[in-house]
Amino acid sequence: MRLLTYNFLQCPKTKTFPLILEPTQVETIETEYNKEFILRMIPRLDWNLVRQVSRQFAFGELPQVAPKESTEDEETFRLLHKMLLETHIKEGVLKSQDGTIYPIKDGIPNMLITQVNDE
Amino acid sequence: MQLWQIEELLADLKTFENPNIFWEQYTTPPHIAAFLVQIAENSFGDLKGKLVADLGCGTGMLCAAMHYFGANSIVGIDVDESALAIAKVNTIQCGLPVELLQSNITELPFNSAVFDTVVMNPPFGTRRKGIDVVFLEKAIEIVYPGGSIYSLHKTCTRSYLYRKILQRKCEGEVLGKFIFNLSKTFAFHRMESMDIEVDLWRLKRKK
Repeated sequence: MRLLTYNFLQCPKTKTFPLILEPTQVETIETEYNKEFILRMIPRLDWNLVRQVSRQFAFGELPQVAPKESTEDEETFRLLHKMLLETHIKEGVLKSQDGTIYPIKDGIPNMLITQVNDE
Repeated sequence: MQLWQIEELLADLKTFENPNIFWEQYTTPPHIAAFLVQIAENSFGDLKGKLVADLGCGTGMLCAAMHYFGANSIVGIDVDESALAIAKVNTIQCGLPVELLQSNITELPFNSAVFDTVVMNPPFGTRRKGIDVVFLEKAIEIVYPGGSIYSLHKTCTRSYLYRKILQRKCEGEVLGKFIFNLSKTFAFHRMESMDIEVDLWRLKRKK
């Protein structure tokens, strides 16, 4: 799971957002930089959460206001690319406020809330 | 790469070992997967540089097809752990830029409409009546205004789906029809193989 996806996740049971992310294994996988993609994602993100994640993962302090197309701040766009698209959570847990734990194993978060009946 | 080359790569993917009847697990035939994604990218530019979701990704056939047509941000979602385990093997072996997530499609964990494009081959609803429409409704919920949905549905549901779609914030059209050959996957299939007519739909969420 990339940090981009984490930024979009809410608890499927209580609908609370955000979930608390406690990683135990993190991996960086490089990918081609695409500023246009980052710009398109910014309006879909909760900027306060992005700033918090940046601190949690030691990427440093992000500006208070989300950058726009006209913002001449290449450094911030590069940082967002590295953080959101190249940082993968391999192992860890996602926690909801009601105490529900969603485990992340081998990079796959398990967001199931009801036992699936496959009979 | 040529279409036939992509079909060959897709034919090499690992597929279901013990398909689950209830979830109507069958693999999208490689030529249909390749055709679908070819239209999505070459006619509409809906894959390259886009954030794409595959609802009910199974073993990752459509995810892989999308990758070969330029998608590099794909999230494959499925309820079944064993399908995801096979999808994981496929993503590693083929070096696919695919993230996998385990979730029930009826209880998706996204906080808003975040995807540019949704591509899926949902269950036809033969085991659970109406599940095909539920998949469409969920896809509409998670696709960003202006985004597109590609989905395969039995041709016999076409007029029903047109009416359903008209009630929602999207436009829909059938791009083509396929003959889907389901080989005898499950015990309840009486015939060795069965041809069913399937429509490829494209829905566009209004801005």
